[in-house]
Amino acid sequence: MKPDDAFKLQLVDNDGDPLALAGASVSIDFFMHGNHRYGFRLGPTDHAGQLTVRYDDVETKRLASLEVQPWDYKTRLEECDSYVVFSVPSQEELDAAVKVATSFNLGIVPLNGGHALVIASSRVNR
Amino acid sequence: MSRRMLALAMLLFLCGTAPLFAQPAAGGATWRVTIVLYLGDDPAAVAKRFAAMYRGTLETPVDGNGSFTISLSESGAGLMRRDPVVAAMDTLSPAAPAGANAVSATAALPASQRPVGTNATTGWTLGPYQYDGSGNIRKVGSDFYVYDKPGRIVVSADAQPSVVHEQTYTYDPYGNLRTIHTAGRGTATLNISGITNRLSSASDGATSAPVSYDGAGNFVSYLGATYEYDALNVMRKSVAGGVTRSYVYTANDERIGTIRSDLGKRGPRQAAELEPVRVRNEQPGQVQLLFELGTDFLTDGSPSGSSADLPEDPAQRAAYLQRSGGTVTRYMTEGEARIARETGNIPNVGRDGKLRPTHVTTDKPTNNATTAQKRYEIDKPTQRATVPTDRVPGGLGPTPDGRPTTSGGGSQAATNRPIPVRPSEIRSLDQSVWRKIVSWFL
Repeated sequence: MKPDDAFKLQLVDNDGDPLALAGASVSIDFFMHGNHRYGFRLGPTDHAGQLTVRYDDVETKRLASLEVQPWDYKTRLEECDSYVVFSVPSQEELDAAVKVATSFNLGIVPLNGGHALVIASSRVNR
Repeated sequence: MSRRMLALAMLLFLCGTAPLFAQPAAGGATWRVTIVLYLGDDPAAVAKRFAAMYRGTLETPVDGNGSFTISLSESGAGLMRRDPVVAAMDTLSPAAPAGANAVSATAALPASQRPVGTNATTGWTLGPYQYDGSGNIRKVGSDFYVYDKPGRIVVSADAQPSVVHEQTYTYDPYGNLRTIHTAGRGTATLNISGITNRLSSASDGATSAPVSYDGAGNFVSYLGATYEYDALNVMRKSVAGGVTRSYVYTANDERIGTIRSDLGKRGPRQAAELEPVRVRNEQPGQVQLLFELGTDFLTDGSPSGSSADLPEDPAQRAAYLQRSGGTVTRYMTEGEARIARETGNIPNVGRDGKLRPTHVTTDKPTNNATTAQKRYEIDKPTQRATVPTDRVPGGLGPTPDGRPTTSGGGSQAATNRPIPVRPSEIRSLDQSVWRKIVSWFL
């Protein structure tokens, strides 16, 4: 991902039709040589089920993670492979994330929109 | 007794804490517990954490359904039952009669769980225990102990029938033990470095000797005695008073024997050479090995032998005993170290719960933060966790970037699974003076 990159995401249902679902958490994952490098949670989506992801948004997340786990987040976004994968987390993933966020004492947990998102596409590629 | 008191005092000094006494496993009823497991949870670690939290003893490992058997006191069971992670809990055996279990005490234990006497398995007795308002042991029979306001021991004495072996202790403002005065035998003085806050020299009144530490902060020499440690900072060998002691541990850091050069008919031997004298099958795939090494056994208190559950396979057993299969080190921040201490795992997720490969190294660990920073291209490590390589579930794989070594010359690998770690395996790194100064202002 390059500094000027931006992704505009739209949630869709299984038929590919736009899904106007607000408050959904979306994950972005980065790779190196095809190997998973790291990922972040973004969002929430707006009332139209849309989310715009800019480089700075993701870089802010990476730097925050770098503060806690410097060894695992040291690779800059532009050093990763030239593609990213967006996905909508399942309820189980969100539950686990809540537990982790709590244990890390962040006081901030991902939005719990999983019950509605099961009807949404599980993966939205650019 | 005075040597024991000195040992106790040294222990207090080295630990820098109020006196604590060993706590054997508490008895009680046996329960079948099923817990809810989350993604990334290590079932064994969760069960161990439960056992520690509720002062129970695990009887069986966790099965695929998240169920295990644990021995708990009634009070512990009552608390565990309310834990939201517990999905089901059924009793398998009734509680033992009240008072059937001999329990040692700590000041942290509730009054109902503190010992009342010593008469369980020995042919002698010290007498009843008495406590002060803070829960410190005040008297054991006629022996008595006095504490200062912060809870540090300042006087201890045998008093049978009159006061003998009385020792008094003084501390500096930082809580370091400074003097030990033994009635009729003089005063031992411990000098503390104002720079490192470690012992710099010690005097027993007649002899003064420097004290030294190794790079990892381990105490390595004192008044002619020397101590050696392995890569995990566990004492391997000591030489004191002309006696060489070699210590043998299981992979769980449980010391199972001390080989003394002056007692053992086999003389000092390395752990890898150790052979059990008897083998008893306990569970499929596991045996109980009975060693006969000399004296000073810690596991079951027997003067002639000790035991531990170890793998039946000789190669695995050697790995358990020798622990020379290498180590895996994770350099981390204080925040991650706190998580690792609390959960018993080096996490395999980031702060928002997203999985990501955990970077580690099999290099010999360093205790210098700057060295780690340069060697592994990472910023601000303040802690490290070092565990035996065979502790990593599923083993290690390449890092996502495919680089086995960094530009700083360090090797690196990765795993996608949590790494079980014990609090004692996590330690602080030495920081540069500059960073210390900065931290004072933050």
